[in-house]
Amino acid sequence: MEFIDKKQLAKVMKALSLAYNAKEKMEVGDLWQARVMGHVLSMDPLYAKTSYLELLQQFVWKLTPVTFVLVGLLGMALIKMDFFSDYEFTKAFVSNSSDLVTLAMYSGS
Amino acid sequence: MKDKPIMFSDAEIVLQVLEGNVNSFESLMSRHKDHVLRIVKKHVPYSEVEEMSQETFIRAYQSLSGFKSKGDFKQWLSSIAVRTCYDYWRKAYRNKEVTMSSLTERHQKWLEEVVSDQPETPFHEGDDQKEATELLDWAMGKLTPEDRMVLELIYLEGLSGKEASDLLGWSVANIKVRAFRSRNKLKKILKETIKR
Repeated sequence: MEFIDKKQLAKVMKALSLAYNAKEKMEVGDLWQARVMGHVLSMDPLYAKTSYLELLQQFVWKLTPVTFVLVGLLGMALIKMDFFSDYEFTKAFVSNSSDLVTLAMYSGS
Repeated sequence: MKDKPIMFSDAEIVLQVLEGNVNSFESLMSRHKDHVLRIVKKHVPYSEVEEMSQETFIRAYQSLSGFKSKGDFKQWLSSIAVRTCYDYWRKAYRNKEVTMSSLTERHQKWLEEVVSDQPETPFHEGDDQKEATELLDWAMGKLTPEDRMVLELIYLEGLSGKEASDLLGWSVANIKVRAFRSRNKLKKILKETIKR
C-alpha cells in the first residue's frame, strides 16, 4: 500500500484519537498536593507584589486629570502673560541708548 | 444542628489569596486538580504528569492577579495547563530530549489493518491500544511542538479552532493554518511508515 486517501486517514485518525483519549486515568495523592502547597507557601506573598503595583497604577491614573488641568492652566497663563527680556525691561526705563550700552557692559549682558 | 460549611466561589477564593490568605489556594487545588491532571496527562509523557501539573498550579498562583473575577476560573486554569505542556515540549525539543522510539512490524501491521479496505476495523483495547499509543507518540515526536499541540487539540480531542485558540493564546487563523499543515505532515509520516 503506497497511498493514504482522505477516508483512510480519517480511519487512522479515529483509531489514534481513541488511543489518545483512552490514556489511563491518573490520580495524585495528598502528598503531591502538600508538596505543591509547600512550594506555593515558600514563594513571596502575592498581595505585597500586587499592592505596590496597583497603588502606583492608581496613583498615576488619579493624577492624570490633575496633570492635564495644570498643563492647561500653565499654557493659558503663558499665553496671557507678557514676556520681557532683561534688556527690553531696562530699555523701558533708560531713554538714552548710550546709557543702555554702558549699563549692559557693567551688567555683563 | 450543624452549620453548613460556607462554599466560596472560585473568584472569591482568588480574592482571598490575593488579600494574603495563601492557604486558601489549597481549596482551589483540591477543586481543580483532577481537571488539570486530565489535561496534562494527554499532552505530556506519563512520567512528567505530576511535575507539569505542579508547574501548572505554581504558574496559576503566580498569575492569580491577572485572573478576571468575572471569567471562568476552570477555563483560565485549563489555558495555563495547556500552555505549560506546550512549554514542556518546546524545552524538550530545544534540549533534544524527545525520545524517538523505533517502530516495529507490529505497529506497521496495526496501521495497515486500520487503513485496509475493511468497512469498519474494530478497535480493541489492550494490545491494539498499546500499538496505537506507541505509534502516535512516535509520529508526534517527528512534529514540532506547535504542530503537536494543534494536532492534539483539534484532531485528537476534537476542539474547535476557537477553543484551541483560547487555550493556546494564538489567533484562530494561526490555529487553522497549523492544523491543516500538521495534519498533512502526519499524513506524510504515516504514508512513509506504510511504504517501508
